[in-house]
Amino acid sequence: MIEFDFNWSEPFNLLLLAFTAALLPLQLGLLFRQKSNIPGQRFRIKTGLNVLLWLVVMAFIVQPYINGKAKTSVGFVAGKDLPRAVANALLDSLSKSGKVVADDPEASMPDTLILAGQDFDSALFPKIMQSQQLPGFIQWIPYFQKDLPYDLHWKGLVRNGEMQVLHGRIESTRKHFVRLKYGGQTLDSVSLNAGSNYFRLQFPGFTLGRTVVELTLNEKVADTLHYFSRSAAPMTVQFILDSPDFESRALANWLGKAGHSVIYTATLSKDIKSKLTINKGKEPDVIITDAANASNPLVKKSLLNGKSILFLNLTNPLLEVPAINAALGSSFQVRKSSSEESVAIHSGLTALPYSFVPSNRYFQVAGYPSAVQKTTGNVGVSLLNETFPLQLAGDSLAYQQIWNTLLAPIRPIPKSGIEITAPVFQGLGSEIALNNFPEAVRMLGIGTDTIFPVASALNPQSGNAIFKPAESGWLAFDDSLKTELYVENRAAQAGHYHAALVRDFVRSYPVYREKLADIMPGTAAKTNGVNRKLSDWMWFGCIMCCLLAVWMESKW
Amino acid sequence: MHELRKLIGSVTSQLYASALLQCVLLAASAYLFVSAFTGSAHTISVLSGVAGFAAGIGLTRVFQNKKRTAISLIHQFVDGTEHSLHLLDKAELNLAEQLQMERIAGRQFDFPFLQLYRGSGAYAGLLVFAAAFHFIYPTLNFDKKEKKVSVNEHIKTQKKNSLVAPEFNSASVIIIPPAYTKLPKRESGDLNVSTISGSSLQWKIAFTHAENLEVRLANNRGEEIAFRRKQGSFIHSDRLTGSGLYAIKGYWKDSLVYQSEFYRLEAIPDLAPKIEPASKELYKYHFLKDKKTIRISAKISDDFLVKQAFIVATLARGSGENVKFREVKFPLAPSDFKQARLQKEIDLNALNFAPGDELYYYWAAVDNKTPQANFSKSDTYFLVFKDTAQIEEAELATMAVNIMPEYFRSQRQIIIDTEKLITRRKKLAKKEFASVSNEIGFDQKVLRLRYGQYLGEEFETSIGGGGAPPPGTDGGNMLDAFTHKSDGEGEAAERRASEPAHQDTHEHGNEHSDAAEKDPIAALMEQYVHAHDDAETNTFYEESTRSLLKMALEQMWQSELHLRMYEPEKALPFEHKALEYLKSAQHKARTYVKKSGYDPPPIKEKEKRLSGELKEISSDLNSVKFFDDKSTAQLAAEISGYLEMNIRSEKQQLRLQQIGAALSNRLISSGPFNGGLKHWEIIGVLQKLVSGKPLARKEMQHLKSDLARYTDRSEQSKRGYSSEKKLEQAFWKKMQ
Repeated sequence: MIEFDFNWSEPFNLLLLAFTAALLPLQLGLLFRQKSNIPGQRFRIKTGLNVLLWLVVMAFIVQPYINGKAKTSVGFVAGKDLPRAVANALLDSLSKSGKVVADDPEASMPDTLILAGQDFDSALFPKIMQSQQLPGFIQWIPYFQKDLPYDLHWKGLVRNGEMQVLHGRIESTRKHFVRLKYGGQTLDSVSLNAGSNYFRLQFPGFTLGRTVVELTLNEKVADTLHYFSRSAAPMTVQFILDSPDFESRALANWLGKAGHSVIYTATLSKDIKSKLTINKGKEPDVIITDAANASNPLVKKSLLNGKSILFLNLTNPLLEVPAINAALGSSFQVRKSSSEESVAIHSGLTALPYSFVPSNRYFQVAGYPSAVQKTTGNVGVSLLNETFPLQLAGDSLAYQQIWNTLLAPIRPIPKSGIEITAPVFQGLGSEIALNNFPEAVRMLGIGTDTIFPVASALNPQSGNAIFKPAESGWLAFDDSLKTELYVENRAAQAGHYHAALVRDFVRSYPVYREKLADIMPGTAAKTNGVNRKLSDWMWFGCIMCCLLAVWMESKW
Repeated sequence: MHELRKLIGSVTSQLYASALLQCVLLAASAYLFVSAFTGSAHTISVLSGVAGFAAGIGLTRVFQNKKRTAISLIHQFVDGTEHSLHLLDKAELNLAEQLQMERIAGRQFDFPFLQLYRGSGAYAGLLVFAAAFHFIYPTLNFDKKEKKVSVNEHIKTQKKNSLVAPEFNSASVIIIPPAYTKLPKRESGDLNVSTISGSSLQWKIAFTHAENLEVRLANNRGEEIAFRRKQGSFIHSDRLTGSGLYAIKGYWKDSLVYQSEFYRLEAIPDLAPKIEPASKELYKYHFLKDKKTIRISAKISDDFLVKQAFIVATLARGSGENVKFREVKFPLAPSDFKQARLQKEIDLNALNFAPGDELYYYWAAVDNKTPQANFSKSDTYFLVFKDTAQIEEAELATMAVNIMPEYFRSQRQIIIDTEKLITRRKKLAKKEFASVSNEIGFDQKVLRLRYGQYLGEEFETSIGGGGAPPPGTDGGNMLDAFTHKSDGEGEAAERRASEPAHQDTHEHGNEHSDAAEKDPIAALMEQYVHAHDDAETNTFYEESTRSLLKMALEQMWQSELHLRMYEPEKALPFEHKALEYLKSAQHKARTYVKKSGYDPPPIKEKEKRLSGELKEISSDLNSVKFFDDKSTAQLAAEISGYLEMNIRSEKQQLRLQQIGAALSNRLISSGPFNGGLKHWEIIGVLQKLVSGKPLARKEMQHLKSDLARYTDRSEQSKRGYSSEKKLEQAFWKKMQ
């Protein structure tokens, strides 16, 4: 069965076709003018040859093909970046597996299409999508250069103080030293052995605003990470104490200096309370208290409202922790770990000689004898002894480190959370997840673009949207926090872009195919065949023959 | 024929070329000649060049047809042309002419083309002369004239450019260190100044023109000082007193047209002289037999010159309130040196140094700094003349202090000794232990006797210290004396309290003699059920100091008993009790004194006590605090966000300026000795960033590393995710 693949929608094609069609009357008209000079027999031959020539030209334009039965079931397309040797090796191994492989998918769309490498002709994907017979399955065999990191992803937006995590992979042929550097400062590093490596580097976001961090491989810059660091909203901490003590007083001051609000209430005597407000504290997000106040109605109520509670200054955890559990419904368990009066955590810092029993119900803060359990809010218990001597001794960095670490898991959930995995490429869709906005977001402007998030059915607090940026560079969100998003330039980051493009295509292809099958049930059922066309040489030969015949005939 | 035509053509064109060459040479000569006078006023020179060219055209007649000239020249120089070349121009030739033409056409001609350029030699000579004149003439001129020309030129250029904003030309700074340092004056194009404090600095800034221009010196706080205008350049002089950063700004018609980068201004302080005495021993004795002169030496140096060094000696004589001081100052030679080892022999006789006297001396030096010299002095050395006559008394005195007199023993000491003994029990041999216990018992006895004295009990025997007196003899009388004097009779508890346990047998024997006789076991029991230790019973009643003392004595008795029986553990409670009584006796005495002085108004118990009223108590215990200053970590973090921002809005720029200034100030005020000088680089780069100049990659890297060091690089929050409250609560409920 002869079929045509002529694109009728292209105006130029139509013009060409019309022009070619008009050639026949022209040829015949010219012939008929000479009719009187030529005997009848010759005239018929002449006319026949001319019509034949016209037909060949017409056929060349229309390009008919025959859909025959396919000999192969697997198609193979190698990217431009794939070395010949690798491509051949892949083809060989595929052929050996018993499959007949065609490395020219142009002819037909096979059942299984194998894409190897990343850098494909930009017309390939539209061609696959537009082909009448969609491949049943597309497999991607990525190829990355050895000793160069790939598959990098990190957080496009972080809060100041939140962990920025970079995941990546590398096929290394020798030992490598991968570092994340900000200026000359190394933020995190890892040493990798030869072989296929997966690495993960992390550091707390310490900047505000646009941040550029360099990923170096053996002191050479291998990649540049762009991300935006958003400011962390200060929290309000309330201290509820039976008597003011120096530890909590020092902590309150430190929190105040760090920009947080503090309400420091202490019961001095019956009916006499002192209250110190630092930085205009109002509704508390975190309550810091001692174990005796576990059953304080304010503490209980706050926890029910999702606030966090931290217990400090314990003296006898074996009695106090069960009391906390009973009052707040947590399930901490401690056991005595030493017979000493206190155990040293590091120089200048001691803790009670108890430790938390490992459990799945709560997690322990790394490096410190402190545990946090998530219930309606977070409940934290610290077994540390006094920390203020560190501050008095001048080691304010250690003090800061301790309290940042202890307070990190019980901080309130940040408002207006936006999450996006970097890198975001120009022209490729990326998912943006929104959470905990003061009110549901209907639309959000990014640069000159706007996204319309879809609220989650389970959680009205969160929504997500696919953002396909048209511009590159830093794009500003249309929010009050002046958040920005970095979009990688397609051309500047070609290698990564191609990989992302193929990944995106391969991932979205089954969905597309299913949808198409839903719309047009007939098409998917058809088996794929092979399109047989005349090769370009054949066309050349045909046209030349016809022209020659026309010319020779007139010479006689 | 053709050959002939070609020859004529080439000669003609060469003639034209020669004429043109002459014109050009003439024009060049004219130009060079005139430009030697006019200098850089090129138009005149060019015009004269053109005139020269025109003259050349006139002279050489280059516009005329040269063919004829060429033919005649060929006739002149080439033999065999036979003056028949003009036949070539003829349209129709007769037979003879044709023959003639054919005859000469066959010949070979050779034309000497050099002849055509002979006339050019003179023109070339003229050009050489003009060139020589052009280069030599300016050197021949007088200096005065030239200056005039250049000044004129300067003014001209200034006037010419007055509509265009001036551009920065050059800057230099002249550093004149203070005269006393004798450092050379220097001038440098590098505006980073690092010199001795007090140097005078003179900046000289030149711009392309100075019209409507104002140049100012700006520091990093944004304060500005205007430069003085002098002969088209700008000058500012100042004296260097402290370190800092500065930049130079140029304002032209109220708009900033030039801003330099920030330069460093570092004042190196002139240090005080350094004195290193040879002797490290500060305190020395001088004896009678020693030499009457002392030789001391020290190394004194300064970074510039030590103007004068001297020794200040003070002689102290006498003792008690009658001490006299005499101060003597010995100037040392040489003076005005950079570094020297100075020696001095102090003649003690001249100072009248006698036994018992003390001599204090120190080295001092001043340098040549003006107006106020630096002064430094060494440690003070002591020389004490031992007075052998007084030594023995002093030693005696110390001996006396070392021995603790008997009357210093106290009940507390006895308790301490007893406790010590108890703890050492295991280590001591039994005999030794017994002996120590006995000794403490003796001490206890001595103490008891001493307090007994206050009660009028002069003798040991009178308080029963010398063993147990037989019951019923005078023991009862004595007890009567104890009990009845103070509190009167009938107060059984009081009496009981005052009963010395040691003498239970006497006392109880006295009081309950019948009972004792009846039932010795009951009497014995009574000994144990007595509430001697019961504070309640004892303090219910007002007791006189005297009775308390008595009670104390009784406890002491008991304690001594146990100590003598080598039972210090048992003695301890009594010792404590005794101490308690002694102390309460002391307190009582004090209270009494106080009471006699002041009679407080009666307390209206019903009104004041247990009413629960808190009216008088201040209830406003609320306080409010604000921490407005941002932490350095926050400032550094905020600045880091601007590093990647190449285009900043006005608001952002303002914000950057504020935080940049705040951080710089903090770094500067950390002081030169607190790593302040190390901050120069970051401060400089920060200022560059704030002023909106692009940073080099290296600078950017440095700034980033420095900022990262100041930020808070610890994890402060975890990734959070808020969910539907009700669902979450239900989940946690089910989990439990």
